[in-house]
Amino acid sequence: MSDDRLAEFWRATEAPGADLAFALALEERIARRRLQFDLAAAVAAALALIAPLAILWPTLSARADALVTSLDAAGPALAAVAVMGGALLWLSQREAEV
Amino acid sequence: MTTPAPTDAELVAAARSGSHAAFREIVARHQQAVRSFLRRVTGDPDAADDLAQETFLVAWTGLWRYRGQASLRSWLCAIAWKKQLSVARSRQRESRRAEAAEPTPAAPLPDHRLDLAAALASLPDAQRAAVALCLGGEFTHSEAAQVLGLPLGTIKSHVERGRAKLLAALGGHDE
Repeated sequence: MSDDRLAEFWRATEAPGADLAFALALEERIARRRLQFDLAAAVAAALALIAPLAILWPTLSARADALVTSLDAAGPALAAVAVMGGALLWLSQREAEV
Repeated sequence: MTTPAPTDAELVAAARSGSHAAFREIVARHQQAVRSFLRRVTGDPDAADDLAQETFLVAWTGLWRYRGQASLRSWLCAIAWKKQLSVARSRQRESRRAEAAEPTPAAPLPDHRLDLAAALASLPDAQRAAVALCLGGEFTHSEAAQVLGLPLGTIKSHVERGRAKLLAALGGHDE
């Protein structure tokens, strides 16, 4: 008799064999968690790109400055070469015309 | 001719390699065992379902940890049990804080005609869990030992004593 009542109690506290509401609520939680993972992965990837750049920035910046300075120094010489080249071209064309 | 249903091991392997359908099948197959266990342990179907969802979420992220030494059902119930213990501990802490802040009147004496739910709730945590698994959930003693992380002998005595207490609450006797 008591065993029957115990068995009845276990039956009454048994969860349903199939429960769409439970499954859908779980799907939603998993989707939310997946989104969090994707977001975290995107942030990590961005950091992986930015971090080396930030570490190398002083070196890169110094190199860039050096390049600009060297171009500045070479600028007048390059301009002079360009002017002379243009002049020579003009003179050679004029001689051909004469 | 129908193809045989995939085994738990096959489903785990498929879910590990990213098949959401396989994981959905794992949930469909084991949700009843996990939820029933938690319902009996917590005595609250809503809290139990919430814990069951947490359990499956942990399983989803940590499926790679499942080594197949225990059955998948036992592994899932073990996660559920750990979750339940941590929730119970934090609830105890909260209630202690609340008691310290505002003393509550003494609880009424327990009724002699406790129903089974109350009798089950009155069992110590591990005993209640062992009873819920072995008497309610048809787990073997060794499966329950794996779920609860307790020695086999302890499980046997928990089940034995728990059953006696439940029968006593019903006004019956164990023999």
